Amino acid sequence: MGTNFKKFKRGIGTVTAMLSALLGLSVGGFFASLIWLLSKLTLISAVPLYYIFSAFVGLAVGAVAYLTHLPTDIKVAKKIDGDLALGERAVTMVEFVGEDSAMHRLQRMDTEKRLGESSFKHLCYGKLWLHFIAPLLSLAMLICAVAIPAVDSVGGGEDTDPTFELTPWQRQALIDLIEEVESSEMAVVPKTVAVTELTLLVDVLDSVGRISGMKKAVNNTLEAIYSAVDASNTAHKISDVLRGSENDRLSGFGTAIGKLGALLVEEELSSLRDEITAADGKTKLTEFSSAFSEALSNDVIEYMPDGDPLRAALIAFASALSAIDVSQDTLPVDDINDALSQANGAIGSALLTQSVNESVEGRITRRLMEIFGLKSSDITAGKDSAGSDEDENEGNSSGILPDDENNSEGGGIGTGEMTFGSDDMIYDPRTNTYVKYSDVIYYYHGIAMSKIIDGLADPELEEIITQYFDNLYGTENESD
Amino acid sequence: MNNDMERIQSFCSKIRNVKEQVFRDIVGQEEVVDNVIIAIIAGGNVLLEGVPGVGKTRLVRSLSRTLSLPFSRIQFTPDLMPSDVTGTVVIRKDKDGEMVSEFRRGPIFANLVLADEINRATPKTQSAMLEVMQEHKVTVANSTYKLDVPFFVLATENPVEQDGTYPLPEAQMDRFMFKLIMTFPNNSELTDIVKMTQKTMDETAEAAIDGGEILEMRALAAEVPIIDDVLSYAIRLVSGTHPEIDGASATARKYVKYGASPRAAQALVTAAKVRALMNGSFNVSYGDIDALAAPVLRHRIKINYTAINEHLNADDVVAMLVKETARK
Repeated sequence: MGTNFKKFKRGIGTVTAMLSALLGLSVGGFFASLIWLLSKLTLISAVPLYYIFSAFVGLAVGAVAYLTHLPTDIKVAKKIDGDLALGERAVTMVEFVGEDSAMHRLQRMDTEKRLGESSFKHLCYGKLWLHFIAPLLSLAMLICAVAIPAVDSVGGGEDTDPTFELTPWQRQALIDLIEEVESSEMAVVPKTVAVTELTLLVDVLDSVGRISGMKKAVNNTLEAIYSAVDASNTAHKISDVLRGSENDRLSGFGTAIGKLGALLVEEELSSLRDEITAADGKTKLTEFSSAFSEALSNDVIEYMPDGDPLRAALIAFASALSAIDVSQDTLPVDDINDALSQANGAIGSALLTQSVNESVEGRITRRLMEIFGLKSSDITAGKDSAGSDEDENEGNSSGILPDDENNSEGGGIGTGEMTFGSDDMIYDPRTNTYVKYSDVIYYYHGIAMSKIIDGLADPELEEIITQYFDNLYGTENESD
Repeated sequence: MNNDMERIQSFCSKIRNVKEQVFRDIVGQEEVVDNVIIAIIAGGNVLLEGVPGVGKTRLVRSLSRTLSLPFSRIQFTPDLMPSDVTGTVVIRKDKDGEMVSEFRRGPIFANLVLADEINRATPKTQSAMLEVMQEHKVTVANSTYKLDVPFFVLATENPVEQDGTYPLPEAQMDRFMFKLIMTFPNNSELTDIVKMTQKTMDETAEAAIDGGEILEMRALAAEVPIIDDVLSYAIRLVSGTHPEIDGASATARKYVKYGASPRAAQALVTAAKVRALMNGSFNVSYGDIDALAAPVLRHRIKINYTAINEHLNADDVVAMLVKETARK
């Protein structure tokens, strides 16, 4: 093929490639802008894959356009003949390219001469404006995508459900919390549940993607832990039954148990001793024992697991009381003291464990709130049982302090009837952080009482510690 | 090879010379002159239609001088016999006094023949003439006499006279490569004609080429390439004149009674090659086919009463056919 023809072919090929590329870019740009716009309007969630797909579509369209208009010799020749009015010279030259007669040679020479006299600029590409429709549409879509603000900024408010990604600090904080729970004095069953749920929470939080998902996962974890602690902490249920008794002493005993107060229980037992060792002791003992047995036969207590320490302690206490010989004129004081002493130890130990359970539960709740910046309104776990019970003796098992509630004027914050010294922060050596005293008071109280009960505390220190916690466990009236 | 190229390249200049000489005697009628020259080189015959005095005879005489070809004129009349055209055998005494038969050649024995008012002759005489045109030989008394080549007949029809005429049947019309219409000259042309003929009535054209060169040019023209698309276009144009076939054009179905024969396709392509070369092109284009469509087809198609009712003539129908036939 002649030089001039090749020049035209090259030029046509270049223009075809450029127009195809323009079309491909326009299509790809249009879809990419559309995706951007839809993501700004939160109609879709734009992921890089969508943009890659847009690029692929543009590439495919451009390639198809180029291949469809691939400038072969015959196509180029037809275009040249048509646009330059060469009277089928170029097509004849291409069609008879292999012929070597004088006529064909002259024909080729004549065609080349005519092409040499023509300019590439004289070629037509249809209505030029048609080639700009796609780019203009793409540009218009891009302008829309840029100009139209995102849906959240239109309303002026925050994104209702921002993205969430577990940070390394949060992950480590959760791991530290798991270790803390594992090393705590929590009962085996709730501890196992807590550790398992917290471990699961770490994995779940890697995939939630959104704040709402995180909150849901945290609440699910807390719900499971609350359920486990609730199942393990039988004191409140037993307390409800005992407080329902007509026997005042038994009712007071139940109140003390409901407060998880070992010292209170000790006081009640001491009062009971005084009563049953007084002149009217037999009657008091009989009445108390009868009421106690009746209460223990309540379905709530009767169908508790046999292995529950508090239940077992109470049943043992009831049995011991029942075994006291009341036939004699005076009651055997030693037997009474033994029974009360053993009961005090067993019940105290059981209550300590349950106290620790609640303390750790509260610690877990608080810590999760701190780690993820949650407010008390974000914590929905345990709200049905915690919020619906209007009994003033009902403790807040979640250990969550209201965000804005401060019922005391004197610096104390109360939940139920529990009143703490303050909500000052204290240094917790276990976590090397400052924590609210209310989070750890149960724990420290439990540890202290455990040592006292085991006789490991110095007698003078025992009195100080007991007095200290007695002061902390004052009534609401005292704190106001 | 170079000689061949030179011969091809000299084609145009020779044609130019021929036309220059012819236009020394003929005013206007450029298209007719071009098409007549095309027909001569292509080896076809021409049927010329025109009113008296437009220069039909003068054109042929001028061509005869320019092409250096012996010319004869046959005036067809109703009493003209076939032997008046082809020649006859006569008995004569030789120098020894013996009676011998001798074939006396008729006026058909020329290279360029003007068959004037061919439609005035009887069908029998017309057939004799047209047979000679087709076969280029004359058979008389079991003897065959070949005509010299190139052989070209320019027959005329006078559209005005209706009485005493025997219109050529379509089958005979098909023998003419072209039917050309010589129109009455415009005022400017008429002025030139009058001025020219006031000086002299003689033809002043000089010889430009001869019969051998015409044959050479005919062979050269046959080599002009034609691409498949253009050939297909020519074929579709001719086949589109037939209303009865599949793929017939809407125009043919509406306005044509009978379509053109395959000779039309042959004539179209052959003439297009000559035309291309005459115009300095070395290939046949769509334009060449379009330009020759009317001369080739107007006398080969028979329009129906629908066309007549709509005051359409054959040229109008051919123009519609050309417009309707799509190029590739």
